[in-house]
Amino acid sequence: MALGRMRFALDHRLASARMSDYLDEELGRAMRRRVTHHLTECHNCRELLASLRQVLAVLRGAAAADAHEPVPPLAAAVLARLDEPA
Amino acid sequence: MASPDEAQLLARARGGDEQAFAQLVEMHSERVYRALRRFGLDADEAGEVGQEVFLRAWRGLDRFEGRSQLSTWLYRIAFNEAQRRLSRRRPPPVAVDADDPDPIAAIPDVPEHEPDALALERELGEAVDAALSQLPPELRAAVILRDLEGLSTNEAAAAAGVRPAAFKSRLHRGRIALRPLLAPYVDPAR
Repeated sequence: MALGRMRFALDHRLASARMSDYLDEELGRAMRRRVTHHLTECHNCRELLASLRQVLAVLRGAAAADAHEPVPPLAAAVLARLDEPA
Repeated sequence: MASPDEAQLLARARGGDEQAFAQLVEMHSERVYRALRRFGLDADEAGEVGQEVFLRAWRGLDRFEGRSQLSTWLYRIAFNEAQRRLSRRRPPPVAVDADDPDPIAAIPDVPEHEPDALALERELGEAVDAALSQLPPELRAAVILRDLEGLSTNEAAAAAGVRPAAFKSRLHRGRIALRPLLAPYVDPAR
């Protein structure tokens, strides 16, 4: 029983710290399995994962929206200034 | 590593060929400009600082060893320059006008016939900009490089000038810090 609680606590610390890696699929297989298992038994970590997914969705939406903003022509301006003293 | 075209242009630029460098600017200016905007500069500032980024790159071409992507190096210069510009900014003046206490007047004007989708996109972009501006610079840079610019962890870590493990930690902390700031914009169904 005490061992189970200790394992839960350790896995919870691990999952909380590495949830972005889990989301980005950047965990090794064993570590990923451990976090996946922990998610089945920890409501807080499931909430953390869901909220990080939501943040990423908002950021990606904003990134797509940014593409509409025109970019000023920098090359000509830079070319005209290349001989300026530093 | 640079693409073959880029490598040739780089070699010519290192030899003093200004036109070759101008082509490199052309290839990378959108990326640099958008990163500067996301880092919190307004459109005018991003245009000015964008020029400075490329001028610094031109003067430092000999120091670029070509072991990483040119874009990675440019991101690094861009974030340094952006931070410098932001640190020089004065805090915005507080608009207090006893003759005009109407709070509605302070709301930015939105064109009356703007399509809803565009207005929503703009609002989302502004919300993300505002949230990012509240993060410490190193966490902000991590989120921008990975989640907005779409770099891989290794590329983003190189651009941030830290090891991948340290970069991942910054990215995670940045995302965590954004959760409450973006809470009104998340789709609970996701």
